[in-house]
Amino acid sequence: MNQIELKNVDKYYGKNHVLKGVNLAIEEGEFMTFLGPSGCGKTTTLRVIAGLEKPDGGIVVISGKEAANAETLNFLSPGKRGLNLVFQSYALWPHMTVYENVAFVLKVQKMPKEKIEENVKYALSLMQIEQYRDRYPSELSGGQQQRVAIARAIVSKPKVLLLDEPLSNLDAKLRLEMRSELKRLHRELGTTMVYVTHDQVEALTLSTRIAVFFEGEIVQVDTPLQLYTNPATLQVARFIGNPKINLIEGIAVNHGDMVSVHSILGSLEISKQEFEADFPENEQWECMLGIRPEHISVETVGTEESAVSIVTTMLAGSETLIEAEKSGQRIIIKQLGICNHQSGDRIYLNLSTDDINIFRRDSGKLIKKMK
Amino acid sequence: MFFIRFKNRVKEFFANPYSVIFIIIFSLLLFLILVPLGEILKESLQLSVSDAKREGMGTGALSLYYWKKLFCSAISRKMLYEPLAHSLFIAICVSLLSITIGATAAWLMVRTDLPFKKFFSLAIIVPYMLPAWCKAMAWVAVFKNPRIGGTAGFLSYLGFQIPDWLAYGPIAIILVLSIHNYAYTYLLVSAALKSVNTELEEMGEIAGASRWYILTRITFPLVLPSILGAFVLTFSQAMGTFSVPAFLGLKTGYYTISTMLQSALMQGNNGLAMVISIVLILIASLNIIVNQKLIGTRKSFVTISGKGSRTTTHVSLGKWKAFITIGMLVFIGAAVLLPLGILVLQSFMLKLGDFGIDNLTLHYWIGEGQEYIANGLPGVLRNPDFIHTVKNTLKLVFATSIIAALCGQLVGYINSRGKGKLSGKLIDQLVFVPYLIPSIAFGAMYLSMFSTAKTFDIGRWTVNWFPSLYGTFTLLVLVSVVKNLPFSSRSGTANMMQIGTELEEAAQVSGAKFLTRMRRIIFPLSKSGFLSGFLLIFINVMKELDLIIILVTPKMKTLPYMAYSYLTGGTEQYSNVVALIMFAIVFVMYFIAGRVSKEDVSLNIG
Repeated sequence: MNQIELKNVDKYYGKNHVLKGVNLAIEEGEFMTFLGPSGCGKTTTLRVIAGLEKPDGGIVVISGKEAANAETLNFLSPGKRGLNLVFQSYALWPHMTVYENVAFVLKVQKMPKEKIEENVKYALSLMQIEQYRDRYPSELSGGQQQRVAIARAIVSKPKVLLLDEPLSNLDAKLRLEMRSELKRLHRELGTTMVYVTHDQVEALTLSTRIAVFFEGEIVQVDTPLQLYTNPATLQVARFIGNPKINLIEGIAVNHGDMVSVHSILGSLEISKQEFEADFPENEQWECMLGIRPEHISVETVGTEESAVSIVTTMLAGSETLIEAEKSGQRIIIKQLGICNHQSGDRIYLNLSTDDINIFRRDSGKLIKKMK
Repeated sequence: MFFIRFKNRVKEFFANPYSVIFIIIFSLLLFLILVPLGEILKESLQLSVSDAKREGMGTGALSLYYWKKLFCSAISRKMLYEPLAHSLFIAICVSLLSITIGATAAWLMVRTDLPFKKFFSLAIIVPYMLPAWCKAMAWVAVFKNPRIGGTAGFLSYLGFQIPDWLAYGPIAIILVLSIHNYAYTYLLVSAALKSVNTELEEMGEIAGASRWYILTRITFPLVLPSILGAFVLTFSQAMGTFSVPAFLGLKTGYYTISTMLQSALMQGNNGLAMVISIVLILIASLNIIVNQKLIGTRKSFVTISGKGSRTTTHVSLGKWKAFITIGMLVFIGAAVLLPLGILVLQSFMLKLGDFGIDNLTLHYWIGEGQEYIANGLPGVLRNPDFIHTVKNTLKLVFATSIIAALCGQLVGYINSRGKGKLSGKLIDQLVFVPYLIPSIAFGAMYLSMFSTAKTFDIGRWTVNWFPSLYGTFTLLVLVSVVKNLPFSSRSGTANMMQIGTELEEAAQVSGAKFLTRMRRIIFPLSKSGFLSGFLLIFINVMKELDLIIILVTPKMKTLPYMAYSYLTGGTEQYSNVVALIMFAIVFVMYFIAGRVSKEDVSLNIG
């Protein structure tokens, strides 16, 4: 069942069109991540779901109930949507102790005292912060405050938990720790989670599905694996992956059942069957080859076509990044282990057509997936 | 469809506390600020009964009679141009002088190795606690000469010949106002100086610039916006001030535009008084508009804070250190200790002008009424009228500060939550209007607005929808609350800005309704801000004379007014006693305010 549905949601800030007809269905129990650069509308979408912002167009349905309808101006208040939110700044009430912060929502719901005590205890133990229950937020470290904020959001057992860049204020080590903590929480609670981040590693490691936002639009919704291996557009391809994907201009020529793709890396012969539906029928068309740095292997001998010269090599512990150059185009190669190359050395690249994405250059759409 | 949309929109509007509060505040501001402004304009165009008869026109007819009379008639020079020239002269001189004093003091305190900084930082703002008219009283006590004052001042008693131009008139007014008003510049400029990262100056030093070059080319441009801001404040204050020119100018017939306004009102020339008010308001607005244009482009400097929170390096004063320190001490002595000392001394003097020991008495404090002194008026502390006035003043001050601080918080809520929205901007601008209007003109405005009952006629019946408030306690509270609204709402906005919207949203997501959010989140978090807003207004209203001088009736008077009327009645010692008691109350409140804001810092808000 769909837990949350957004249908053609539009949102303006003044003249600024921040959400442009967003459509999305989030299933029950999913860990859905909104990923995108800052200012792309992901937090706005989250706030529309929470009910803190009202959409100017479209419909929001939560747990089968209409939560917002811009047509009839029917808006359900945030408290009645059966969800809770973890803010980027945590937004802990500074005048309340940890216990009072977490108990607040239950008090608002007029739950009997003993039940409150029991529920708060459970939430605090789940987040492993029972020992801080009588402290004030200012007496806690950033990581502990984060745990309180999450405890406060889950104590009322909401059907949906929204998280707005919750880890961005933590240092690198704590962030890793909290990441696995969130994954555990999702497993234990089974709650539908909607998570906003601009950190792709966070998105790829945590989510069951990822929605990629660009300029107020969702351009791709997919599992982390699919998103990484087969980005739907050039824009997504450039955004996902670090080091970045190599994008190399090419010319494709159709002949019979085969397509030959010519680029600075030589010619590749690919069967037409491997291409997607909106494959151009012209005899010759422009394309862009997408190759992940880890999918290129390096040989010491090879044909003249596959030769490149090395610009720099950067050792990064367990792997080496090689920056090479051919005809003015930079190519990044990731090799496991330590490679000893000097700048100016010639190496030969070994590519498999299975590992190559091909995009149309005119629309930027992916038309050949990786196998 | 249309019907559902409409129904939901209406429901939405009234369910949203923001819009409900906005509507209430907006209509109140409209009624309390814009309507009185219109009323002034109307009254300036409407002939009074006697004038109408003389001019052969119907009562209530609209005409430019008063405007013509004020701007181009035989009395224009005496009533408008001369006082206006005096006011402008005073305002410009006071601004220049107090900015020089204030900015220098700020630089010395923030950027140099001046000794005794702790002491100076308190002493420097004490003059501001003493109302300007108290200082005017002290000035008179020191400088007056037997020719005009009737009795000798302190210096005359010692045998000095004090010329009239020093005892009364523009020089006296300018000096007294400057000693009072430099505090604005000091506070604004020192805040700006503190926020300028010293690294900016050190960069200049590394580049090889001299001290003076750095000061004039780097530091000064960075604090210029705050200096211009101080200019706006000082200029409007000096332009609209009534009490000081009244104390120091009227005896020699030196009128400013504000004293002229008051005397026109006292003589019943309401139409003329209203025209003068409009002139005053226009000048104040013009001043602010010009300065906003000037500051506008440079405003961004103000926020330069820099990350360098490390201790600032101080400029060494070198051989000038001792000299400057003594200069500061002398200045503080002259601006604070001397006026206070004189007031205390004079309050114990049986006969004015005799500074001998055998002339000392406690009569004016606690003496019983004696026929040969001031028609048998008893000492202030024994005077039931005084006790009544103290009660009345405290009642007024408490009522005003609580209401104003509360309104300030509400306006602050609208301002901070409606940031960027039209409604937020509208309130922000409206609330600022009372600031434009000089106190005395503001009083005049309320006098004209509320002296008669508001009625309208339906057929033969007259409906009285708003009663006459003249001479009531309510009117004094109302005028004080509205006039202080710019201050209270500024403090309320700052307070509400500190409380992040997310704190409220977190409660909203938890299902807490508006009143619950207010009670459990907003109010507890704004408590200390509320208290400091309250104290600010308390002190302002306690000292206030200009605003209420034309609204006060003998039954409804306040301590400043009592002191003023004793003084004009020629019984200065009583006046001194009242002023000292008032100062004591203000000083205690300052002390408490300091305590509160210290706690403020330890309470770490979001």
